[in-house]
Amino acid sequence: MDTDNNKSEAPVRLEDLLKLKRSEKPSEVFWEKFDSELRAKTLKALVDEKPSLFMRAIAYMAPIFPVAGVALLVMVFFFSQSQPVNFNSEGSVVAHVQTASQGDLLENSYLAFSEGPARYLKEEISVELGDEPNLVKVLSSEPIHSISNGVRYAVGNGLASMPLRNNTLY
Amino acid sequence: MNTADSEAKALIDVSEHRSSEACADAVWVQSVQEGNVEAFDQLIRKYRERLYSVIYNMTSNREDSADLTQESFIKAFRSIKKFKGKSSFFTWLYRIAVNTTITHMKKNRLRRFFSFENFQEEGGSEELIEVLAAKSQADKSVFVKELQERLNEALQTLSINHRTVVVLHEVEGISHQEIAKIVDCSEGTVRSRLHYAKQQLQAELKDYIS
Repeated sequence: MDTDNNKSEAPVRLEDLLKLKRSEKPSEVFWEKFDSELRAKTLKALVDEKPSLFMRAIAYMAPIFPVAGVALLVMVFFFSQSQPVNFNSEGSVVAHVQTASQGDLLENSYLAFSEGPARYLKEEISVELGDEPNLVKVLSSEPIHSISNGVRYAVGNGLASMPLRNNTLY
Repeated sequence: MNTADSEAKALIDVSEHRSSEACADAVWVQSVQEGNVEAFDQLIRKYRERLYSVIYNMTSNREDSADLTQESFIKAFRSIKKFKGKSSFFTWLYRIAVNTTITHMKKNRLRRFFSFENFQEEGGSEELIEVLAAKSQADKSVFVKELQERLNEALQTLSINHRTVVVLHEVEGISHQEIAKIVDCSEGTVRSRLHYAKQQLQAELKDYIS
């Protein structure tokens, strides 16, 4: 009884109450689950390596890539548009030569028509010579032809000369 | 020896213990930096309970505390190669844990769900519980639950900064000097925050304090 009275009269300080919080502890079961989860997360952290500074810089600049790509496409388009070439409805180039003499056939002569600079096929076509040197008249409407180097020819609605590179019309 | 002297001695003992602890940690840390992942397991086993205790007492929520403790260890693991040893590993780790917890609490200000840990009566706590339970004349297990709830509520009335210093000093027994390094402020600020916080808590818990 006296011991109980002594206990109830013992002063209790704030610091004593806060120290009681040290007694709040999880169980062993909690720690087993904690350890296995943390192990899995640590392994994942090992696998998911942080990208290098270079890759992070690329990722940072990524949003401007579509804009740069579009700008590049526009430039290529306008550059290609600056060449006096007509396109027919199928998207292939058909040369319209205004002057020529009827009936002449140039052997081994080819005209290049392509949707893109890299496509070409060799094909004999019927052409006619015109008054101006190296002018040919295209009679065939085949979409794809090729032309030998150095031949100047007329294309489009008016006379124009196209320098050739690698048997391909640009 | 009066209370103030015994407390001063306790702090000195803790400080000496921390110095020897820091030396032991440095060996493990170096091993981890050289690529030995198992050495990090040793550091986890050593600090997990203490780190969890700090975070739990700051948040009063065991589910969040488990996640935050794991998150703190992962952050430490990811950046351990940058650890240069300017502070002890213990201080560095606690700083990560405290900052992670503070960030979480700021994002979840409205989340006020308390969940309690098991109360394992040991050492001096058993005697104090007996005293308090005798005063309240309530069933002991009921009283313990009520006390836990009141302590958590009282701590949550403090601001994050004040709660942090109270938990680190009064619950974890960390010195003012070390707390200043952990929370990155002056020792004077730590003492000032502690003083204010204890005044608040005195008012909140006056029913239990004699």
